[in-house]
Amino acid sequence: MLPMITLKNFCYENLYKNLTLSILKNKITVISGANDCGKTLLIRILNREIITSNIIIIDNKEINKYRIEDYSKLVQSVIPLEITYEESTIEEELLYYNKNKEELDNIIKGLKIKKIIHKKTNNLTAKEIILSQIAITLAKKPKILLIDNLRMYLTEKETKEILEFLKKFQKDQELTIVITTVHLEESLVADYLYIIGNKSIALEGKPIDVLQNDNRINKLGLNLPFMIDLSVKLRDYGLIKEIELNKNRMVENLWK
Amino acid sequence: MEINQQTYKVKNDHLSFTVNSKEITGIYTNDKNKVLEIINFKKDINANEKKIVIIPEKMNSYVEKMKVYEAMYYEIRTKELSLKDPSKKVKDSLKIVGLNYDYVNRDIKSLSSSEKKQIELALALLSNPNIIVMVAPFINYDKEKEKKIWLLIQKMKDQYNKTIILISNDTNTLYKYTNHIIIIKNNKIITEGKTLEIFKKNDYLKKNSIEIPEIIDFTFLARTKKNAKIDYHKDVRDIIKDIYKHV
Repeated sequence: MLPMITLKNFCYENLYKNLTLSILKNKITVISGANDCGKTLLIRILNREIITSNIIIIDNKEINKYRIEDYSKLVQSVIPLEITYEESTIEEELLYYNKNKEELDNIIKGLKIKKIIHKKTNNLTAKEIILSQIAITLAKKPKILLIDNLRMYLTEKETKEILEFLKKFQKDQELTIVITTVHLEESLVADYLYIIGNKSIALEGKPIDVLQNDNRINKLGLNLPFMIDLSVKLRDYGLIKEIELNKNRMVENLWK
Repeated sequence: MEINQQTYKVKNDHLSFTVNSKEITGIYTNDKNKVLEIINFKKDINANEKKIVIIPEKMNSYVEKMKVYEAMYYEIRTKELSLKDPSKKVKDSLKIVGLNYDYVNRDIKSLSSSEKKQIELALALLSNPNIIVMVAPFINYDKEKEKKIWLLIQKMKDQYNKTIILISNDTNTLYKYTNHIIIIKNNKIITEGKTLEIFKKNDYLKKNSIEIPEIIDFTFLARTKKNAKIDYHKDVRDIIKDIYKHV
């Protein structure tokens, strides 16, 4: 499997020490960690808003060797409510970056934003602004999409709906997605999960496997998703054999 | 807004609700701005009797660029607070939220996310409000910081007699931290009452597209589908004990 982003022995001020990670091409990777561990900083570094002397390889080329215009075609980020298009409607912005009607319809339909595309951002709620940010970013057709802190203004259900759409979109469009969050629920749609702790990678692997390290995750200051927490504890008591994410099936298993 | 010793009544032409004074009330809403508009509507407010401070989910980016003391004095100036001894008030407000006076010279942007929330509470305390409204106070906080902020909120209520309103669209959080809740959807109250009793209205809430707290949803399913003898709890460990006893 090819890496799209590689950081090796990455160091930054007092936040990171010898952090090594490899983001796989055309996969969704979640990077989690307690507050102030540097998740947003990492997004800004990968988006080249912050330049460091570290060697970061993006799509087989060193990050600082890209021309700015080439890099913005390759990498785009969504940081909730950080927008630059207050004066245009969402539709104008979408059309500015992408004239392909079919592609835009797919994004508009998938994100359920048909009702708001004629509006400017000052007439939108926080949730609608975030949806418009994702839509416009996808319309730019980057190879890498970085998303920070999606839950900030959304409910768990809304976040899940967006992530499920992105998962489908990512597979069809061969997009590499990196999501940073404190909410481990979001990792359940991902292919790979990194958890940052003590300035480096504390845990990594397939999300469902990583999340079973309940004691370690608690020590890293994160909350487990409810069904994982319940499953792991019930398994420890010998009441179930496998992790179960579906509440109905869990009830059926327990009270046969 | 009408006030008596026990309650605050919040109302406009479309919406009216009551919060118990010196308690923590949760408001679930899909449009926080509308609710904040009503709460913050000052036309019929007797300013001497009741002061409200709203703490948004994210600190104002203008304030975030200041040093702590600049932010404190900016708050005093913009709110035209007539304080006998502003310096003492600043010191006391920081002390209440658990920060020592050394913080006044710190750049806010250099503080941790929970320290920023502490500063926001300290700013709120400068005007000695009766009511502190916090929007999504725990969103995007890890376990430790969530606990720290919760202890601070409890302190505001218990030691300083503040009325706390937590506005959130996260029902898991509201279930965990409130005893009374008001559910507002599309600018209408669809139900209100004791938090547990409200969230037990599983079918009604789902019909109104309100997310049920996961722990309640699981318990409700087990009780209704399998007649399981498990109680409603706030902590997953308590559910495990019930399951262990009865499975």
